Amino acid sequence: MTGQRTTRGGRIDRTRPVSFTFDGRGYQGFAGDTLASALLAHGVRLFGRSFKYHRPRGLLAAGTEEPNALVTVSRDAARRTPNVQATQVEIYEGLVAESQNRWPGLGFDLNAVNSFLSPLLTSGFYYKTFMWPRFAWHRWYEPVIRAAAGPAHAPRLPDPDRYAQRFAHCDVLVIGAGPAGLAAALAAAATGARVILCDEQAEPGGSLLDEPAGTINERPAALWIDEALVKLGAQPNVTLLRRTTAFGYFPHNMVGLVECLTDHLATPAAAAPRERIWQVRAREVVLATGAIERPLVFPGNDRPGVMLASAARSYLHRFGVRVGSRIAVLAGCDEAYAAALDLHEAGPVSPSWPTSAMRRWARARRRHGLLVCRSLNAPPCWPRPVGGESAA
Amino acid sequence: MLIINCPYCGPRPELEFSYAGQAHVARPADPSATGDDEWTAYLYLRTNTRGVHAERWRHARGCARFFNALRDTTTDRFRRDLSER
Amino acid sequence: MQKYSAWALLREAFGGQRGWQSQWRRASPAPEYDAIIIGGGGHGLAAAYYLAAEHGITRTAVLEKSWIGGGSTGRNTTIVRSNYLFDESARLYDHALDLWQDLAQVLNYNVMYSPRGVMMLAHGVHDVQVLKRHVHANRCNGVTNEWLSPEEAKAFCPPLNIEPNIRYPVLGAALQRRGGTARHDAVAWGYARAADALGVDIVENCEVTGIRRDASGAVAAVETSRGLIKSRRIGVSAAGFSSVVIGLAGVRLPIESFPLQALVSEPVKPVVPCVVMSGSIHAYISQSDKGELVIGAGTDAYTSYTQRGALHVNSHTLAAICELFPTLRRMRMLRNWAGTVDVTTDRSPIIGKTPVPGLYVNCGWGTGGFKATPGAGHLLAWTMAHDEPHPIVAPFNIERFRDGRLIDEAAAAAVAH
Ligand SMILES: Cc1cc2nc3c(=O)[nH]c(=O)nc-3n(C[C@H](O)[C@H](O)[C@H](O)COP(=O)(O)OP(=O)(O)OC[C@H]3O[C@@H](n4cnc5c(N)ncnc54)[C@H](O)[C@@H]3O)c2cc1C
Ligand SMILES: [Zn+2]
Repeated sequence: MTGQRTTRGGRIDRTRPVSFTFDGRGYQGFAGDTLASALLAHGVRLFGRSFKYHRPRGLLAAGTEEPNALVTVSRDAARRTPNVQATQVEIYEGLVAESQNRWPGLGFDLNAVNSFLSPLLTSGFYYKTFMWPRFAWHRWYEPVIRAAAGPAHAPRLPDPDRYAQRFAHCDVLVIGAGPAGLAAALAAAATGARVILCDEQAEPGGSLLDEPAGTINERPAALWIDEALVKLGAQPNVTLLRRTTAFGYFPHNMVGLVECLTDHLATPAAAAPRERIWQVRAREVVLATGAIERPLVFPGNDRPGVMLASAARSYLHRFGVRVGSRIAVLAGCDEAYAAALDLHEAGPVSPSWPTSAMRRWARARRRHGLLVCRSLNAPPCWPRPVGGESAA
Repeated sequence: MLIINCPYCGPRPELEFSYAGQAHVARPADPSATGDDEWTAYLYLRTNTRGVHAERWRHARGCARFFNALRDTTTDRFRRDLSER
Repeated sequence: MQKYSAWALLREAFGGQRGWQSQWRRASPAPEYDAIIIGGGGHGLAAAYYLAAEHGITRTAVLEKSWIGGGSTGRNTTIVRSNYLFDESARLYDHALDLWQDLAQVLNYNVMYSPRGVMMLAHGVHDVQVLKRHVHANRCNGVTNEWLSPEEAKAFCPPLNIEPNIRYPVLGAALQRRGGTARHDAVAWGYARAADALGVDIVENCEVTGIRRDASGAVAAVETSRGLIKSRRIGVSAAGFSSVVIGLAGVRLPIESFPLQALVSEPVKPVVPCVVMSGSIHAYISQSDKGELVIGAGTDAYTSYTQRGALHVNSHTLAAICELFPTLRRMRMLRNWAGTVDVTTDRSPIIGKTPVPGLYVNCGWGTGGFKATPGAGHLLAWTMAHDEPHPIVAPFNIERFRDGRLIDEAAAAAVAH
């Protein structure tokens, strides 16, 4: 799977190129790219190493559910932020990112020898050994284990940034600005209620951003989002918070939010706070956080090149990145059909899906001349991760 | 942070209040005539109810008055209508 | 009991991991036992183990309403220390600390006891006086504890901020080198496995809903969600739920249950080499072997069984941590939770007999009972086996509240994690 930039489409601004570095190498993306999408567009497949066995890991997702692509982003010596998901980093001019949990490098990681020891390092192995001699746990074994654990280094210098906080009250707090969240906010705002709508993404719209062909009330999705935002923006009783994650639901409808204010900016104002904690007391809370696709379980499913079907669509439609040139599609939900068709439009695809249902899709597939493997039990249908050996 | 209904000021955030423990714990009228067991109960024994708990709060950073309230200690919800002066 | 060792791991590595036995049986309750322990936390499991191992009472059951170790044992920040002020406490906690030393070998389970040092910070003149008093009192009792200047404290824990102009300046610290941490799950599982091997039944999903007494008033049986189970010897070790369980026998305890919260950060390479506690600002921190910063807060203000607390309590703690460790400010928290802690007026536990014959109690450990797990279990077992309080726990009886013999660690330190 080698990604490439499409010639058109996506919500990126192709007139505004942005330069950044990853592991010391310079790359260029566009305004609106995440670190993940920009690197994927350059054919980068390897984003990290797994915690214990240091197996090579690529992108699995396009959003906050990404488990593999953890990187360290640094503005200067004191502003190093470890363990950020590449899918959540908006690139800016001069961004410096590094991969983690590898030595000496991401491509060649000596710690990967742990993989060969995997039969020894079964889950919970540490409860069963390291007990002899008596004092040795604390003096010998623990220091080695502690040094190996933790994928990144904590910052070493005092954090010079400022942080702000605010208390807020509202009638309705809507968490998630996808179609459901936007509709809930619109409906609540129309009654005159004080509404706070927050979304952890830079851009409201949620899953609709990945559905350019979708419609709501016969309006194209993108247009519907724009209209909703205009309506909400015109209402003084609505507060829209972007890049804002709800992190805790506390007693009596107190919800904690963290709003990221400057991490996406090339040159933040010196006095601007980096993040703001909101302690929101809401009369009602609407959770409109959508769904994330559940990954299928098969040997080697953690290899670079294996990605959620929904993520492949997201990269294509939001970021104008086709995730590969030769793609096999397998998914446990409808996303497979949509992904196969969308990706097919940008190149050939061989989909494989479990059941024979879905006549509509069958028709569409015939129209597009797609190849379909039917049965889950038929071994040839199991995807072999392209270029990666599968591990049992 | 709980919202607590002060019967004098209305619903206010927990930050303004001090918890004052179980309600209706009466001090024996004549301590010197009170036996050890009764005095111990007065000083130390509490119902520690799992369920609806009668308790006292003080609106310390507000009107400064004490009042009683009923709260379910398995949900932390107050019986709002039952806070009394 | 299948022996765990590097050899066992090696053998299983070649054998396809097929030879591992389950660590304890999924026991169904028998109609009658010689002893019953209510509460499958570390304390209850340890008591059952010592009843079987040291007193030969193997017809024992541990009754746990959900899964073992799911109470405070699985929710705590695992600080182990023994530098309490009073003579009685020094004996009690140091007894536990002695048992920690070779617990992994005794149980054949790596409980990861890690004596990396517990440092308690002083931020004001009063703190300095209190902690120095502790250092001196501990030394008289043979409990290790030493006083450090701010510079020495920083040398022991480099990320600590000892600038004089911060809100909570560090004026010094008391260091117990023998203190540290242990792995909470392993403690529960290690005791469960060893007790099971001796014949103890570990019965999960079994909530005790009643305690029956015979005509003489002595305990006779417990009613549970899995039926009636007879026993003439019942130990209650239900931590935050102790007053509820003991209340089933008509006994009242001088205890109130409060929420206590903790948090962990994302994992990072080693940065905090020891445990750092600050009693006066309700914040403490250590780093787990997995790399997470483990941070504990103070209790919420009101009694509750929700196992849930408020955000402002955590924010206060994190603000203090950020000031004491300015390099950690960019770190993000991954998880936050609460447990229910059973607090006595004097912040010392209650262990021993109750007014009901055959009913024993071990509770009131509040915010600081994990460290005592081996000791509490050991002494509760002794007390149940002899029907007489072990000399170390004798002062920690229920009657001390009536008799005015409080062991007032609360007044002494205002913190007991
Ligand atoms: C956030 C937090 C941080 C802490 N930090 C520390 C620390 O750093 N150091 C330290 O020493 N201590 C600490 N403590 C305190 C410590 O966790 C407890 O004192 C200790 O774990 C108590 O152990 P236990 O086995 O008695 O209780 P638990 O582990 O709570 O076990 C009691 C068990 O009883 C069961 N039970 C209750 N009712 C019934 C019933 N009716 N029938 C059957 N079973 C029942 C419960 O389900 C539970 O599993 C902390 C506690 C918390 C919550
Ligand atoms: Zn008031």
